[in-house]
Amino acid sequence: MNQYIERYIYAVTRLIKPKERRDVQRDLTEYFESALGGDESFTNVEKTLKAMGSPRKLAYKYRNNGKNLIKQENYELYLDVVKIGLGIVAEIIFVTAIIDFFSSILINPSLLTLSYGITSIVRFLFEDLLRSLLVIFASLTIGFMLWERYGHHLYHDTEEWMIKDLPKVPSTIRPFEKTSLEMITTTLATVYLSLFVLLVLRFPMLANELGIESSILLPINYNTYFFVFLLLVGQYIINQVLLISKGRTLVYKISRSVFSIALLVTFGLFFFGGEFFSESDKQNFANLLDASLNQATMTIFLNLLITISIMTLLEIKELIRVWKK
Amino acid sequence: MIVLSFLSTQQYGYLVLDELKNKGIKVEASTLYPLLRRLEVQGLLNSHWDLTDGRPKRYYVLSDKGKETLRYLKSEWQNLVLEVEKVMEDSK
Repeated sequence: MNQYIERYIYAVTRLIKPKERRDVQRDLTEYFESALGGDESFTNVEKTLKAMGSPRKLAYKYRNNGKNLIKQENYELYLDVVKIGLGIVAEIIFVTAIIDFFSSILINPSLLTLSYGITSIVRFLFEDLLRSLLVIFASLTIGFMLWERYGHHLYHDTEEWMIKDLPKVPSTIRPFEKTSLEMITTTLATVYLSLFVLLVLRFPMLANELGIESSILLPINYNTYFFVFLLLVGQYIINQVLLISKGRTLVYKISRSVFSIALLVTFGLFFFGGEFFSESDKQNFANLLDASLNQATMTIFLNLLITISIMTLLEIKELIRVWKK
Repeated sequence: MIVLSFLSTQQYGYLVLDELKNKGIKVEASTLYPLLRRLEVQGLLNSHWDLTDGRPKRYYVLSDKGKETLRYLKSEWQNLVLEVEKVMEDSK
């Protein structure tokens, strides 16, 4: 098919919902083939495409279902602003939480407990992150609504367009687009992963400095596990920001795979690397259940086995899904 | 209503466009194709792809809901025409 027709169809379909793209692509292909009637000269192609209107305008017609909080012609800009706003706020809060967490335990090593780790994560997720994201989302949405209401047209229907300016159809993997958001997330992901590797490799020394007794090479136990867990949560958030902001790019696929592999390795270490619960923890658990020490140990073991099995299967499935297409 | 009335038998987009043009009704392809999709989403049309001649074509046809809606729209239209005619006659 003519390259300009392909580029036009791509310019339209990239602005509509992914699940509708294939159908719209076929619809438009059918139309253009019929309308061109075999004459694919530049003049005829240009005339046919110009008669169809700008790709942006056509995409809005496909997307418009008459029930929009934000007008379709402004929706793309709104979506970009919301994604960037949420992404940046999430990253700032995440980095602040990490700094805050490490600062507090370095100042006061006795805070290095599972309960403090869990409290920090819950506070980060629900108090800081969720609240901030909701406020940002609501503010941006209300801001856009007011902007539209007072007659500001962010996009004009009369916008001129040239068929030679149509975007080129990319290969299957989108090229790196070094937008500011991707630069930030990629940099953060790199710094973060370096920290992860450093922490895992150097943990015995760090643990020694912090006064934590560690008998195995990679100490995964009740007191230290949440370090790794916290890093994994952070990596997961970065992945989500990458996915929301740029889709399934190569950067996302690599980042998501590193996360899966790190998680699987952690599960392995967690399960086979050492004693997760100390004998006193088990005894406390047994007392709580009013059961014998053996029963408590078995309960813990089975729960861990089931949880880790499910998580492992989910991660393997996700890993396959990420790279399948 | 006009588009629905063309689709009591199955047609694909370009044919509908052609028929509208022959009847003197000017509708742009950029309006018709998204409209057909919306009508299908609303359940007024059914569609299927015909891939037999190597050029995929989506054929649309009225669904039961579409037939019912068309009947309703026609009767509303006829009532409107009668009312307008009556007003015009009264004003003579």
